[in-house]
Amino acid sequence: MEQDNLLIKKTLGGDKSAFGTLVEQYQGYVFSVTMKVLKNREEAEEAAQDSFVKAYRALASFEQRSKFGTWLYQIAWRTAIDRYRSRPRISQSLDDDYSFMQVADSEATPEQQLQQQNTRSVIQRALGQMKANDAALLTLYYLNEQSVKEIAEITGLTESNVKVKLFRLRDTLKSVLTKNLKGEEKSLI
Amino acid sequence: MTNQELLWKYAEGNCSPAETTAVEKLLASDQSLQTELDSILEVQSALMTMEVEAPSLRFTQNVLDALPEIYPSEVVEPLVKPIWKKAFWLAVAALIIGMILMPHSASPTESVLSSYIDQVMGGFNQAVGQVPNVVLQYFVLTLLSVGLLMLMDKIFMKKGHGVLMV
Repeated sequence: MEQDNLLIKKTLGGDKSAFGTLVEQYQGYVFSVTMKVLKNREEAEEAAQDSFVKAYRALASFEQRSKFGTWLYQIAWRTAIDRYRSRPRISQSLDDDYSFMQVADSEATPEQQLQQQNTRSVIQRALGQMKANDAALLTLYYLNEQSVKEIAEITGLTESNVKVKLFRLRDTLKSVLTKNLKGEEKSLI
Repeated sequence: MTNQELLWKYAEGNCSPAETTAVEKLLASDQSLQTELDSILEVQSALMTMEVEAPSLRFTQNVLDALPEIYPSEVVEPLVKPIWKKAFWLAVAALIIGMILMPHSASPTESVLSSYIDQVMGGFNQAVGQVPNVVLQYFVLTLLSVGLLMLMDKIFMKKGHGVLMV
């Protein structure tokens, strides 16, 4: 955090390379968030780039009340959600419920693969098919290691709302996993 | 809080000691809860190993190229001010000219031009001859120091760090 503050100070003093260091440090996490929301590499990269430029423009107003990462993810979240909302509403029907998350037998991981790899791939697929902001919520919690409080700050939701959402999402993932394993067992019989 | 919520909290290690004891009692008494906890831990570990997505290799450069010029670089005072730089180059020129002229000052010449040069050189030689050696040494030493400062200015300014005038 101290290093971030030093880099911010240098950036505000006109040293663009200091901001480059911040970009290198956070690009993966910012891109992961935009990618989870937009589910399209090109668009996600543009959104991530926009997020950094917006952060740069607003850097002088960053008051360091929260971590730089949290502030940056907030910008990335909003940028990605705005882009997602401005899209033509074609793929929205997919998000109406989670029935699509049932993984077909044909896509099941081969028997000989390790159970852990199988679980991971099922979860990844399920995340890929989740509602835009739901998958990003889990990403913020598990990958970016943001606390419930910080996620509330990033997304504009209340803390209790974040807790409820996280619980429901993880529970849905658990159901998907259970169904998938049962499906595999059946196919083995 | 439902048993499910409590199990998730337990899996994350966020339970209070009292809650931990309660969960452990429940797990011991109900086998289905243990199965439930196992699948929760499985999801948990899969989520924990989520990988960071990597953008393209040119990402940082693209961001840097798109940044507007809104934070001007701090104005940095050079170590050697321009007027002193001019003085330095003048002194260096004088020194070089002096060094070129001195060895020829005693040579005999025949033409009018040559005798005029001889007069000038003689005068210069006489003037330099009157300056004590210590003064000349200090003069050369000062020139070298100023030259060194100018070199430092050039290096630091190029790197964009700047050397603040003390």
